[in-house]
Amino acid sequence: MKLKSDFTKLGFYLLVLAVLTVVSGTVWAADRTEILIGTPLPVTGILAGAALEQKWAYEQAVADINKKGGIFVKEHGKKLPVKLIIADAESDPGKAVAAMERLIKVDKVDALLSGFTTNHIIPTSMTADKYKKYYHATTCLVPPWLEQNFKWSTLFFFDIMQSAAVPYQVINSMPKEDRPKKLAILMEDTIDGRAFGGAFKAQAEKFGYKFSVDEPMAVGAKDYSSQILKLKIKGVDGILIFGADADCVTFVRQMKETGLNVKYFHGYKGTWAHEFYNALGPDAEGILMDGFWSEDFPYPGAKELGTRYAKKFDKHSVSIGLYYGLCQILWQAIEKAGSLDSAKIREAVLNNEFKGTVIGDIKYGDNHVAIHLSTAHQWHKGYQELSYPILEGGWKTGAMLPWNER
Amino acid sequence: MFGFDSIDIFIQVLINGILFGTMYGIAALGLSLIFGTMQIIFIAQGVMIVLGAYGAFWLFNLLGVDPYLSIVIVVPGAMLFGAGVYQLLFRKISGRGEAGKAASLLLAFGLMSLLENLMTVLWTPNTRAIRTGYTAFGFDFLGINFSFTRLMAFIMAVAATILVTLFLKKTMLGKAVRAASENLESATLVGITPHKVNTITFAIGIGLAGLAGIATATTYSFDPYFGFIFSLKAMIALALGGMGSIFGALAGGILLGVIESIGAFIWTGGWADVLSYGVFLMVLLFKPEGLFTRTSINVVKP
Amino acid sequence: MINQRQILACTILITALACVPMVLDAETNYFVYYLFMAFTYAAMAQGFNIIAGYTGQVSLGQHAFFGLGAYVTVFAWEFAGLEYFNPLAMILSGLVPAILAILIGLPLLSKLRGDYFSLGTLGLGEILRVIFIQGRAVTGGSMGKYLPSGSYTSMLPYYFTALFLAVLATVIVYLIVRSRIGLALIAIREDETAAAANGIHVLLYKLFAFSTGAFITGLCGSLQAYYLFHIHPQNFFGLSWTLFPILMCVLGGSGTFAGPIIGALALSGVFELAKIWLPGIHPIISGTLIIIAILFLPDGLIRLKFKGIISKNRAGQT
Repeated sequence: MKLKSDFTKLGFYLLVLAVLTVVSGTVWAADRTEILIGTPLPVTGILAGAALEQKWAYEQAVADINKKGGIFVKEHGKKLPVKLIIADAESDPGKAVAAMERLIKVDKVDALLSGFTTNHIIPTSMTADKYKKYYHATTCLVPPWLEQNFKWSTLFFFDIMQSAAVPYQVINSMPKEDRPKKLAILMEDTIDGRAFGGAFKAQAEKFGYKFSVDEPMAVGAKDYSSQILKLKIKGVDGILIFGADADCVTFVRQMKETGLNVKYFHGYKGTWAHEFYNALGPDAEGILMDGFWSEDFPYPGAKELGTRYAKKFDKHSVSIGLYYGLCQILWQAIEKAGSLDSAKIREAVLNNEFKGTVIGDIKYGDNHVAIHLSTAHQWHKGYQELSYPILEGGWKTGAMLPWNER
Repeated sequence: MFGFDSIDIFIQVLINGILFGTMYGIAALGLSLIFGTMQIIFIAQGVMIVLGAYGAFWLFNLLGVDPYLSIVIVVPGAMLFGAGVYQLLFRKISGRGEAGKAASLLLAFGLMSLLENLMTVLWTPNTRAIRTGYTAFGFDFLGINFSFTRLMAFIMAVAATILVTLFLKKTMLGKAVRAASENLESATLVGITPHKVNTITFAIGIGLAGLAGIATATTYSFDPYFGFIFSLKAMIALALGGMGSIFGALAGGILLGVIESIGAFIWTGGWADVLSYGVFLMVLLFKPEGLFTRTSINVVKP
Repeated sequence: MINQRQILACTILITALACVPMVLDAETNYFVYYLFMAFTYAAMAQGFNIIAGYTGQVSLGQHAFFGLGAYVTVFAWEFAGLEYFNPLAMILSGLVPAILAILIGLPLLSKLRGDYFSLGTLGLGEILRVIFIQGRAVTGGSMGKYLPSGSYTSMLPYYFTALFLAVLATVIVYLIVRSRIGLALIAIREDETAAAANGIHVLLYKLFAFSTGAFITGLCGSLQAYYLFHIHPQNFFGLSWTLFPILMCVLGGSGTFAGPIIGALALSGVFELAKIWLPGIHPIISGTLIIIAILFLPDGLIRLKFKGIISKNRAGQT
């Protein structure tokens, strides 16, 4: 090695470091032309499919408000359009946090819209607290979120105990001869699955139901035949299941193959997607699912949003209303705050009532949480009929037909 | 005992495990061939399987081709693709010894990452499924319930194993592949070009992945990221059955399926995973050449 | 071999890096965060470098040690009251994986060679993940464990700890390589049988390398636990904690002691830029770059400069 080359190399590295430092330290002083809203959504990885509806709803909400010229921000004395910046959470909580960091530090967003799923929301809410940026969250289980006492985020989601009561309320709404007598509960072994499992069992006691079989559902398993065999042996005729859509498809297909007939099959998380219906077709008839929203809700814009989605994708959604409504709350809050400052937006969210969203009128509590109703729907000819809440003159939930009678 | 109230139930669980295990076995077949010849752990095998599944899916959706019939298109297509992958990518780094192994592992990883995300961009991350009259069809025979698609997968796997074994034993090209896997250098000495051998091996390996893809497409709903678990389980199947043996790969997969099936019945699904990884480690430690190889591979020299 | 000038050069560089947070605001500047993650990966890449680059055993199970280190930190906090950035907790987070490495390395390293060893370590990682999911009451199962996030005050301790870990890992590598241990490791990598014939106790050295790599990786796991405050098996036992350090080590130049660092900094930079500029398709770009790099830079970035000067015989390089 030549003597000079060591210091040449050092000089080179120091120069690179200096340049990067200077570049990244430069403050871009620009006049405000738009409102920057960031969101750490999984664009790649195994959660990407599940987050598609959320992404679409966000984009629609942004497009709709921009059609009206944007949001009027008093501090800037004019209407500013909204720019949505999506950073890839890569279906990994650590990367979701990195995405938040990017949004806050590089993109310098004004506020943040929710990422996807409990185990991303909690760490990203921590990030929001670290840097004191307002984070408008959903899709996170309320109890573990509350435990963390976040100061800079709010949560808009359903109450898990209310959601856990829905299956029993649906069963009670069915004609007596259609109701299942032996229930099984199969919860996948994840954060959400465990939480729901506990809630379902607590509510079962309240409603006077018991489970004959109580087992975890293996995530990503390619075969449930052993479990289904156990259910058959026990004579189970009603199943409450919490699992991903591919797993639910595998499960139902194997149910049909082994000839396990049930009157009642209520899936959480995995049975509401149209992809689930596509994979099963008529076999999905009568299967129940959970939902966040229905386009049949009597709220302004709900039907129009649902129809817009159906026209574009040739399928219906039971979730977009939640995400669209979330955005509507944020836009109203920014306007009421009159400013793009995170503290002011947060105050506006906590202290106002938000009317006329596609998911109803919303008010946040002092604990930073607002609750919406968790629904139930039943597959009927490719459409998710609303089973709960039970609307006047609405859908009547019935039992599933045995496989060989379809 | 163990919750098996009767022998019938035990047999049912066993049959379920065998049929289920063939899915792993089919995935492991190609892996075994590639590993046997080139000592590459091709972790992108899972992604190739998903590609094959998408192939069957699009042929079904756009042209109405029945998945099992689409074998004649998907498998040769996969073979061409495999040959291409070798020529473009792996050819450069083959034969570089230990350094080449880490490099080929990473190359496979890069390929996996690239293809998974290419599929996501092209075809959206939504799960896809093929639905025909037989995709959720089961029947009873002699008191045992069989799943049609899994039975077809079993038949395809056995047929493929027999065909590949015949190829390796009876054809000139096949013997060349076998010779190369024993000793690449001396094979070169007698005029067998290693690159040709490797290309053939890759082609067959990915062709088998295509076959596995069809078995997958008829049985499951899948998305671009579906393959990774397959890769992992296929590697376990490989370790169980013997790294260089075709028959061993299938047997290893079936054994894995049986272990998981019984484990899921006696305990629950979660512990079945612990059980299979545990068995995997035990086999690696005490019989690393696999449970089904007759000749003991000298494991001192990798 | 390294001489005094190079030591001086390195010291200047490290000091410069340490001064970055004084110029930039650590809280709002992304470059600081990027360096924090890059240093962490650099340390883990060095951990892999010791066992694979110098000893020739490709371990695919580093994520087992990473996750274990994180959980040890959580348990130390919860059960022993060793809280935020407690040095004893961090040392334990390195020691426990190191002990596991020795325990599991005994059977794995003595019986398995090459690919079998790699597969075995892969299985180890997966088995730990599944066990921690099943461990419900103790390990929090799939819900994971939470640390009180109120403890966060500033980015600075993370930055400096990560820098310290990267430097520590590199110094460890340097000391090993310069010593007899390093010679033994390289001898084992080149030809195990010959090494054994020359009286080198192969298993002992392999265990040493394996556990040292595990120690460093466990420390990094601890740091991430303090950063994310939410520890659960899917995240901390994820395969990417193994694959990325391997990538960085190999692409930077395995078997050298600056290679992993350069690899970590460069690759982190490329990934970050791809994510900022092309959010939807960045993995395609990254995957393509990895492939191109492996095909055309087989010996790593660091050897780009030395082509023609030093022969491809790796045994002659440090």
